[in-house]
Amino acid sequence: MNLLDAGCRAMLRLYPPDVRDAHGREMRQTFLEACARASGRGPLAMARTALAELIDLLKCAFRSRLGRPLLPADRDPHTSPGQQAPKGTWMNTLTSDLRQALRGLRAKPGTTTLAIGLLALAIGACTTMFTVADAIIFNAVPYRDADRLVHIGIARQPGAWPSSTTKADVIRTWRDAGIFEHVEAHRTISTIVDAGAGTTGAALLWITPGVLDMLGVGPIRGRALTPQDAHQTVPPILISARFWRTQLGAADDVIGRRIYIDGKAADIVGVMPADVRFPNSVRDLWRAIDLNQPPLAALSPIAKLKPGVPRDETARLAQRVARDRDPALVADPAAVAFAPVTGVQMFDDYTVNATRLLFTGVVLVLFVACVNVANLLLARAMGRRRERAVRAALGASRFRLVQQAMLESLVMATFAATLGLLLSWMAVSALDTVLPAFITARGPNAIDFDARSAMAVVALAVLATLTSGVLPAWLGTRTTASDVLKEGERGSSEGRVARRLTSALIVGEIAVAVTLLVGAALMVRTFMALANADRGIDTRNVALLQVNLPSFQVPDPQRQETLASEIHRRLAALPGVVQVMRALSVPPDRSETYTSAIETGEGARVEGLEVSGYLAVPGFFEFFDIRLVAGRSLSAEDPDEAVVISRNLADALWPGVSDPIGRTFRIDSEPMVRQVVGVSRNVRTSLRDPRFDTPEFFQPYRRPGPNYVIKLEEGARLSDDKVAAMIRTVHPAYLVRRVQWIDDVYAGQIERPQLAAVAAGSFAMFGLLVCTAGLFSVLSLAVARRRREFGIRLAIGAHPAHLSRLVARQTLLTLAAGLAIGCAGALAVARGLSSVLAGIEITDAASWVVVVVLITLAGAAAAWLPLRDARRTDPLLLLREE
Amino acid sequence: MHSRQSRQTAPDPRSLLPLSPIVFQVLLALADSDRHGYGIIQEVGRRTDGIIALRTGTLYTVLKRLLELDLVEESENRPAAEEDDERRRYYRVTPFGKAVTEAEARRLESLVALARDKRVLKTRKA
Repeated sequence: MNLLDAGCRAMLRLYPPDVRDAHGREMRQTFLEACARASGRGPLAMARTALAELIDLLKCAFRSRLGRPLLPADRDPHTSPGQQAPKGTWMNTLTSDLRQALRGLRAKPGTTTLAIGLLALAIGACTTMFTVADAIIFNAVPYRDADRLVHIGIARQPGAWPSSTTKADVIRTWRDAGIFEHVEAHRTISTIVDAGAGTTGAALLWITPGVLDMLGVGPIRGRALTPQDAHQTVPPILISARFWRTQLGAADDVIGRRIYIDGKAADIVGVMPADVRFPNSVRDLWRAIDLNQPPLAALSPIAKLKPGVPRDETARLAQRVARDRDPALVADPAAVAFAPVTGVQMFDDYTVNATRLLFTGVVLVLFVACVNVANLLLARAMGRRRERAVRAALGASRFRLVQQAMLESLVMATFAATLGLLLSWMAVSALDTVLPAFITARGPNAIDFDARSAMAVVALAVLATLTSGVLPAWLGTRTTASDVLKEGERGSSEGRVARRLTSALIVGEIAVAVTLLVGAALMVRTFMALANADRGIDTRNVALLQVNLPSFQVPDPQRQETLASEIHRRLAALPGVVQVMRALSVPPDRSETYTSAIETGEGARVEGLEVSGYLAVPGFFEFFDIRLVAGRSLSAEDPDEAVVISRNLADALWPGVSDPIGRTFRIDSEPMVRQVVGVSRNVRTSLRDPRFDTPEFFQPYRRPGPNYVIKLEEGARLSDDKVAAMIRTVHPAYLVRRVQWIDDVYAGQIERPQLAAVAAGSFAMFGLLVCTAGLFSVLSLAVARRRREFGIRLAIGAHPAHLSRLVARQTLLTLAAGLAIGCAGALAVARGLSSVLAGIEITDAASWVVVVVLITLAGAAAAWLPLRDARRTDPLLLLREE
Repeated sequence: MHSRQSRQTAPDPRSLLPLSPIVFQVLLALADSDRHGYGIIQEVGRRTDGIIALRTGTLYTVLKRLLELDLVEESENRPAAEEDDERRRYYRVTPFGKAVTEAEARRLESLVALARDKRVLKTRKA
């Protein structure tokens, strides 16, 4: 209803002020009543009524402005003296101008279709990208008073990001001190849940019940959580709309149903709306906690600031009470810090940077399309100079002529925007299935085509009108009768200006396309470099199977081990399986990350080095073919202290030492002194960015691990369903995750660069195509204009090759200028680009060569036909035409 | 300004004929009772079996003109407070409006009589 009301108010703004003042309020009321009444007959009837009402409002607004007669009295001034039928209002002029604009567009259907198609594609792409960028970057979180919501935590030093969790008693202190309007806490854990259709994994969100009120969200069915709910023996829980749909078949009698979370009963009291994605994506289960009896020692606090109180002051007060409560926790230089609750911080830097860049890229594509349309319009405007001159001679002012020309652009942009809106709406609807979950499922806002997207379309249409229409309108109307008399002669000044401008526009277009291409080429090369990077580990045909036996189902450890061995045995017997290993750490997932300083046996301290630790079961090195460059691998007899380190860790700890076997080191946070027994090749744990690939060490782990790593014969496949069925015959309580190929895990790491490269590549290719077409039309026009000159040159003995050279020179000059400016542009945005590059430099020669080759090919393609036309000019034919 | 002038000249109701079907329907809807905007829409819809679906924009364009021509005026008779909505305004037909409505009805009646004379329309049997 709010949307309808807004629509009604927008329409009312079109009415003359006297009508609006006299009847505006009751018209709104009547409109809403009509819509409300229709809603009783179903949503379709309401939509139909609302649409008909809005169209009627629009129609009548124009009617009021035009003063269209309603009664005979309005037609006859004698019956109502003083009332003159209005004539010549601006609406009348606009209507006739509109008719003229439509006639003008219809006169050249080819140009019009091409221009509208180009703009529609560009506007559609722009709006789609905007909708994605809006969900990720621009739009606010959909919570009440979102600008006052903050994550609050202890930062290691002033200015640093606050830690995500804080001790519950400190959070309680903040709440009791009354510094904030609200202080609430939450924490997510993974659980195994049984809703009657077998066990499944689900994320459980613990919240203090005040979270719901603070965010302004509540269940669509049932009731919200209350503070008493935290103390119930059978806890009441809220479920997500997704869980309700997938696990409970959207049953109507969902409220009051009992489900089992980690084997313990819980009662459903409400269903949360589908669009609540707190804290950063949809959580399936919500359960109340009491800050006085927290289920975990540390929770994630979220607070709402009091209105009008400066943040610094609130932070200072919060710091003081936290320090009083726990002096050690907030000891200098640690400080209480706030982080705003925004969508952008729920995404990794790469996604945000790439989205920004791609959005910029797609705006550039729109620019290229607009420039091309400007060129088309300019060519047409020059062709219609005679008509304009006649109108000017008849007394039309320059302003009127420009106004009419601009209206034509506006009408075209409106058609393009309507088409673009449709395209974008379809594209956005498809995004959910096309885009990976790390974009669609994350963040507080779903990627939907909403009012903001529609507003973007309108803004883009205005932008397109201005960029594509102003120059042609201005130049095309700079006409005098004497100019037209000179028509046909070369060298009329306006024609020259227009031609120069056209060339300049094409150069600009090529420059933008080059910038886009360079960006895209670098992104594609980044992806290739990452995908082909040496991983130091053989993951071909290796699959990971993770299973979980809930301990509440089988509490006896010995029985658990028997079942696990049975699974091992049965997996090894499957056809196509070469080897099965029960491992704990499976690359690229490490067991532990160490960030504290490392002290070597020689007394040297290495600071700021992040190191990954792997627990290697016996046979680990052989299974993954991790080659040793010195020493030996680990065996079951090795003590805990023995480690194999990677080559890059050896270099970091003992620079210049080629054989570190027997040397020792200690990580500051642990008492254990580790001794190096072997040095392995470097293992890439993260393909994403080589700069962040950490050195690693492997320590012995003697028991079999919980994960099954399976090596298969080349081409062999494991069926998820068969494996799951087989494991459930061992014990029905087993929760089986999907069989995952290690290669896919690595591929998943570079999904973002891949997606960015594909998107950037498509935008750049579209830009290239558009500017090739633009260059083609400009060259064709140039050749057509100079046909007479060419004919004369040929007649007096010029060789056709000479004419080709003339065209080729123009092409080359245009291309060279475009390339030079485009390359400079690409270098200018290099800083922005470097945030999404990895494994290659901005100066990557291959990328630049590819761009130059592509542009040259595009130039050749564009010049081919005009060149042929120039060579085939027949002087006799020309003479006959004259 | 304009309505005062039209009142002073007291024009002949027939000068406003023929009325457009919608104007006539609005006047008919107000003939027996004072109504607010949405009430008029409902009355017209009911009386014409939904054939004439009056919309908000059209209604108020017509009402504005009828107010200016002094065919309709705002009514002070409002329902009890619990049924009333202060955003609503109620309208009633002025005596001049009644005269115009009647004139239009007569005009239509004579047209129908003419059609009967010419046997275009046969008299319906009860």
